[in-house]
Amino acid sequence: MSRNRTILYLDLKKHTSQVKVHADTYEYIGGIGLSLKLLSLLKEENPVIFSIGPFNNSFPFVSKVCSIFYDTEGNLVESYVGGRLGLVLSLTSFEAVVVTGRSANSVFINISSGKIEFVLNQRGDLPSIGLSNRSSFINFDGDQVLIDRYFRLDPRLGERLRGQNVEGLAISADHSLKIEKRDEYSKLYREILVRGRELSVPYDNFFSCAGCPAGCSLSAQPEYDPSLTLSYCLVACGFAANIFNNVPTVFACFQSLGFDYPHEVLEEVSDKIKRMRSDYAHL
Amino acid sequence: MPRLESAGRYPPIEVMAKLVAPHMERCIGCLLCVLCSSRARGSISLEDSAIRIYFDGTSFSAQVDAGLPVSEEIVKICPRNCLALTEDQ
Repeated sequence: MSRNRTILYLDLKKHTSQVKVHADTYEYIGGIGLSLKLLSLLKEENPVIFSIGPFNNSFPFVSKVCSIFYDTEGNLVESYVGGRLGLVLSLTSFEAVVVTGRSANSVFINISSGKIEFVLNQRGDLPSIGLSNRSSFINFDGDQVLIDRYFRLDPRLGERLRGQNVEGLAISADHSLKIEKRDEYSKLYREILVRGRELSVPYDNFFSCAGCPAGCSLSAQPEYDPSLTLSYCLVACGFAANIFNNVPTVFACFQSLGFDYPHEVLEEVSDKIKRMRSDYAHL
Repeated sequence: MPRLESAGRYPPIEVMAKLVAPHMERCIGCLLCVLCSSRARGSISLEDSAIRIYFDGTSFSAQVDAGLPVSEEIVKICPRNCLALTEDQ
């Protein structure tokens, strides 16, 4: 893991994309921390920001994708939803996708193998482009906006995306990550997996988010708990807050991945998030 | 590659374990099996795995790469017991 964060910017007005490497976002970890930092730089452009955290592909129950945006009344909305999107995005070169502007025509965005396509007027069925076992997608189904045909995004995000003339978005994983400390990491992975009994929701047999074995009855719902900070920087499930809103556990996870994340950064990030949530609460 | 021993009074013969997915109707799409398999090969990936999971909008299906090694962990990690190892002589 690098100290830098690689962000994909999509300009819907011009149908252009840009990749920027931010060296100033390390202390925000990822997820909501990274998103709020990006929002502080881009507020005037009123973006929709999707982001992941450093453990999206590495530990169980870290299974969401973070989205933030201002709703039509100018209030900041923060929402977390499951499916494969977080996992797939974590296996690209991007840690966040920032969507700005409005397309003149209805557009489907396809992000695959480092290429960005703006596919115009893709009405009807989902396009076959980019959709496979290593893909995830957002599309509209009636009034609902769904990830992977099942997991529901916040309806206000649906309104925003419709307002930007976005018909859908597909992302395909194109990266593999080498595990540096395989034994240490695998041991911690198994230890966290058995902590599934600490989830604040029972296991069930509904469709589950990628990386989560719970299959809980609430997996399809978007979530937001304003009391959570560190675990939302990781983009962990809110029901796993007992595991991931805990600095020593998170520190151990970083260590097992061979990454010396400073303890003080993990300790201080909660206050940063609370302050920024307040600072950017309204457009 | 894991090996299973045959039972009975004859000397044990070594057989190769083959991953099968006999109960995909139970699958909830968590992908723990996919990640487990790639992890065993030293990477985190959706491509370097012995198993791939597809979703058609209503149910999941599995594609197993018989050429890649598998361990019993991939069977045990499935929360819905969808997978099994069989003997393939």
